[in-house]
Amino acid sequence: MSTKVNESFSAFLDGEATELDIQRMLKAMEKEPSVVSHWHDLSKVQAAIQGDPVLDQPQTLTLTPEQETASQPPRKRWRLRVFQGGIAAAVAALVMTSAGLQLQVASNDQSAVPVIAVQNQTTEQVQLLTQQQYEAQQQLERFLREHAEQAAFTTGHVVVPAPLQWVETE
Amino acid sequence: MSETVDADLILVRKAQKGDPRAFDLLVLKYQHKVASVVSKLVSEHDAVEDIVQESFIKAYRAISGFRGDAQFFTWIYRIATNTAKNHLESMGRKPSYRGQNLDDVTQIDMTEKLHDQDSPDGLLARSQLEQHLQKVLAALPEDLRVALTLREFEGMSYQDISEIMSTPIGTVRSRIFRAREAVEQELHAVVSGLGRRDLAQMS
Repeated sequence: MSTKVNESFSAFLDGEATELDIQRMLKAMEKEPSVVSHWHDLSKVQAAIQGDPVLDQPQTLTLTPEQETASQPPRKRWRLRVFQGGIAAAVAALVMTSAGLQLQVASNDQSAVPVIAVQNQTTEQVQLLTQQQYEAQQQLERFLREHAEQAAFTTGHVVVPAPLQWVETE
Repeated sequence: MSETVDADLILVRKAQKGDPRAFDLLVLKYQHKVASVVSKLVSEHDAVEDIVQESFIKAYRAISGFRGDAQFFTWIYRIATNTAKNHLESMGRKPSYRGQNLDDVTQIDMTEKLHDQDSPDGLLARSQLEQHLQKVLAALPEDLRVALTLREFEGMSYQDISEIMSTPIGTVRSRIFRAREAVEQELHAVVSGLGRRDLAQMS
């Protein structure tokens, strides 16, 4: 690891980095991921001098090979949390998908009613009605998904929409 | 020497394009500062580290929505205070700062250091660390010591330091880095275990 790149990181800590420093640091991280540990040590010195709490382990997202094998609890927690987030998102998506399917099945059942009532209408009109209903459901699903994602970002809790039965009763 | 740039914004843009290393650099730069904000709101040492992690995870997930209107630190600061607030609420406690409801607090005093809040044990550890630091700093060659002192204690820019020391900015950069590395080597044993002890003694 060259001194230059460490100098770049030191300048970056001070808000004095140049474009070249950024390129140099990113390149070094790609070539030699363990550089992060050394930079973390430098950042600890700065924190200690300034009287900030010093975090023992870097809270970075990417893992260096040595960190992978070194079983460090905070990193495991990182991965665990990202994994948990993934599971939560998957569960939310599954619930929404099944709710959507339920809605679709229900709406298909319901569609029998207008079809009977409008037996004399043309097939095109019935198809248009079904299409509009389908699009409305898709829009609702999209909205709920966006809402759940947004809520996950802002509150840390994944919002799982309730079954969409209320839509049917309205 | 080329121009200093808004490195944070450049790294945010790279992270938005899917480069996690760019985000990691921001984490390395701000993790202790974020811990400092959180530790002013939450006293449990284990919770502080968890909240810092959670804040950065939230920030990474939401990075695509960061437009750059505010500084990155302001943004992560808000995420961290909200995460700390959620944590306190989930524990059934009313989030507060210096006796004020957290919702009424517009800014947390970032100049307030840990010693202002520490327990007697924490104060002792902090005092020992400071004494150790002073010894290490005093033992540095003068050019390194002056450069680091002007930067860390006086908060001067590299440009100002270069004028005061009548030396090129490149030399200032190099001196500050060499000083930090020397301090890190001297304090390695202390600083390596500092994270746990430091946080543990806060409560």
